[in-house]
Amino acid sequence: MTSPASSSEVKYLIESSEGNTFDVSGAALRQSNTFNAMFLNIGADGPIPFTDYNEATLKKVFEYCEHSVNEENYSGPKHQDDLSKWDLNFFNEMDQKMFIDVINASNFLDIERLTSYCCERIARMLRGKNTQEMIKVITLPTAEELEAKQKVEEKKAAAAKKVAEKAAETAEKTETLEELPVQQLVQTTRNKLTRKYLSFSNE
Amino acid sequence: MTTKLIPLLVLPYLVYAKIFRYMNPYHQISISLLSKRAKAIVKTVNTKAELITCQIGIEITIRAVWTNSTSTITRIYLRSAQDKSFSRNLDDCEIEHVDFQRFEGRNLDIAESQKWRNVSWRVKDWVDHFRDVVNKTEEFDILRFGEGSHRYDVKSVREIIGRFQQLTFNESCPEESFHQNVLVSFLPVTKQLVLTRDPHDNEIFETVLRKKFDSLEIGSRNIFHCTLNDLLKMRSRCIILNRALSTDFIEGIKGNLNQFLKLWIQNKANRNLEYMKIVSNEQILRSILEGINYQRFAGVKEQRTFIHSKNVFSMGSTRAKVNYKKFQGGLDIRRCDGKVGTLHFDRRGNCSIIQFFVWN
Repeated sequence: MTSPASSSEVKYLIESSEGNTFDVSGAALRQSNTFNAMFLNIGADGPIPFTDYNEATLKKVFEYCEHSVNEENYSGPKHQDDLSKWDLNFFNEMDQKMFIDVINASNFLDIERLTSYCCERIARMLRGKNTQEMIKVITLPTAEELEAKQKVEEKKAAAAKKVAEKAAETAEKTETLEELPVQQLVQTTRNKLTRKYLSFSNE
Repeated sequence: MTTKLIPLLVLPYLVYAKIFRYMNPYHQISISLLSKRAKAIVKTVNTKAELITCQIGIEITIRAVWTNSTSTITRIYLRSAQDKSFSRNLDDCEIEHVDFQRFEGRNLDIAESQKWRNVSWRVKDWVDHFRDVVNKTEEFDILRFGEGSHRYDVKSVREIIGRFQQLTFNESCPEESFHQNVLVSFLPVTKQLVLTRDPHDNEIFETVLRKKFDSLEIGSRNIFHCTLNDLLKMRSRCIILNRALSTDFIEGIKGNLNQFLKLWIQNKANRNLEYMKIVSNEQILRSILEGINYQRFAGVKEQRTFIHSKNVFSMGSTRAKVNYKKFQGGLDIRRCDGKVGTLHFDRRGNCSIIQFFVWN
């Protein structure tokens, strides 16, 4: 991570699923609530690993973030008709696969503005369609896809559990350390009393 | 974007929940028919309908209304039977097709519509599906019997519909004996009852009067010649009598309404009563207060809000029911146990309206 004098010029290194790294400005990255929660206060020593997403997707997501740095604070979704020419180009030049990858990445990074625009765009695609027409637009998940989704969810749950366990373990250790002097004190007092009793007995 | 296929149902929950929030309930319901998983997803994200009604008639009509003024109507058209016999089991009826329509606001024009055919579902499957996806799994708000409903077996209707709040009959529902069958079958599970005819014609009128409904509404089509005796038998929390009174009842020799109020003051008339509304074409004079001590509410222009223990007040024929009513002024009378009741007189067109609020 480089850290120039001005905080707005801070650049962060992002690592993609291919292991490639690239720069993203701090201002753009701060639009991600996930980044804010994980790294903003503690900082990052090396590249920030967003290794579930490929370089092209992440670059696309941060391209949007870089562009919307100077826009006013997000206050609810814009209607697609109100989108700027740049925004429209941004969405139109993506193919379907990239669009879905961008939604997923944007959802993971918790970039509210981009996620909302993408969701509104999908809702708009389905507007005015009947069930028969929707079948042509929506792909129904196959059993393998559902299984894969479940595995991902299980993996995430297991990771969360591991983190929680580690946190609990750390907390327990801290508790033990805090309790140690008291226990030592009790033991010392007990030893002293035992010695005193023994000396009385000897007398 | 080149291709148009969206793997909507495998997107993360937060994403598809957001997508569904941008969609109209009509489109959400259209998606719910794609697969079981689609239905489960729609159910988790779909906003609860404000009102859902089911009308049994020549076709089965389910109407759902949302707070954003969107409403949908689902019409299940049934294939006519070969034998033309009455009392057909509703769930055995073959479905011809299902119409699904969207309306916006008070506009009666259809905004969008579609037709479903060749779906091997029975009536119960459709009813359950709709009730599920609009998140009204427990009960319908209103069950209405309309023209042609007499051709179905009442018990089969009850099995399909399950629970509901209000039972009502359309004025076009002609068969008197069918009315009676419906009441016999449905009264035990009815919380609010609307009768459009004079119930004196009905053999189970006594049972209707004596049942403790959350709300009992009588009249509209015919004048209901309500007597003091009828009124004293009623045990419902909310009583609405539309076009229900003959002149005799209001100002007749015995002054029935005046008598009722005097008995109420003595705590000898319908102790459950929280609200009563009487609408009459005759002019209701304040002489019904003869011999009754009352106090005019000081703040004539001050708005008073009455809260009923149940949701018995309609926000309009197409909107949900609420439990409050706002009014101004009124004449307060006090019951012997200290409870206060307020009489409120009003006129709308040719109709006189008396409302009686019993405060908790």
